[in-house]
Amino acid sequence: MMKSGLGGPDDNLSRKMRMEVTADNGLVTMLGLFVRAYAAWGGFSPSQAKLVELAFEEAFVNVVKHAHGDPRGNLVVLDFCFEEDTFSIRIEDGGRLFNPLEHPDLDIKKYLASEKTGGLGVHMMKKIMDRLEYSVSAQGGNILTMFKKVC
Amino acid sequence: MAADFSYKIEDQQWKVPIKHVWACGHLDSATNVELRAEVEAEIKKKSFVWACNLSELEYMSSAGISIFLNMAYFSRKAGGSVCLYSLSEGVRQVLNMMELTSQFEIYKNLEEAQDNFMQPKGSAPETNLAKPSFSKPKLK
Repeated sequence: MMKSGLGGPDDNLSRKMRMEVTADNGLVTMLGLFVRAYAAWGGFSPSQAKLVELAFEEAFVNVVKHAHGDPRGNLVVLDFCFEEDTFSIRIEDGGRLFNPLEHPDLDIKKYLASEKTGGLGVHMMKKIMDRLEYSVSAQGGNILTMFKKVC
Repeated sequence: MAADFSYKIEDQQWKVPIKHVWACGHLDSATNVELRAEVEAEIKKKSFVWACNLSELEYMSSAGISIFLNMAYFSRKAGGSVCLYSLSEGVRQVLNMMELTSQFEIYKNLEEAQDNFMQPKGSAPETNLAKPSFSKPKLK
């Protein structure tokens, strides 16, 4: 189930977008393609827009992972916003608390020397985006906001 | 949906018998499941020499990368190897950004891969992806 629509201030409608989606891994491809298209529309080069899609996918997959088995985690609110020269993606969910910023930085050498067990996605988000912010919502869910200067 | 993913794994005879993977489209956390399962099954059957044509793989997230990294990890451990060739711009960009190119032998195209992969001497992989395609490859 997905509904989408424009949100934000009246004088700048198309620079903001809000979606409410279910925390369903089956949506990730379609949502990612939307994010890529929206990023390109906002001024990112095609290759940078693809990277923004990657960062979004990695963040959304974490939400799905942590919503698993927890009905409160089923609804995810996505806010996309271009403000001045920066694009932000805000992801709010009601799943189990998970702060990717507390995830230790990946030691790529150790990672590559072992059987892979995850952590690459968070590393990728940090590499692609300029800044990540995490907070706990009033309802006790996760809010992750990622920022990237348009390039 | 526009973003499909398809793949094919087959046996081929290069310098040695190899498992050849052709992957096409959008490899993400939703589309990776079958490829992952099939690669894992092949690894269990002791397939440790792989060549992967990634010319038509336009997008690869960490879910896809981990398939190829595991392939390389288990192959290396067993004395085998993994080569990637004809990388699409999207795959090249991600592997460069994540500094993962050292995990694979990477070749510009099929001919270069077939000439050099699993060659005991004088192999000439495209070791520096940042270089333009006409640059002379470094010797291993």
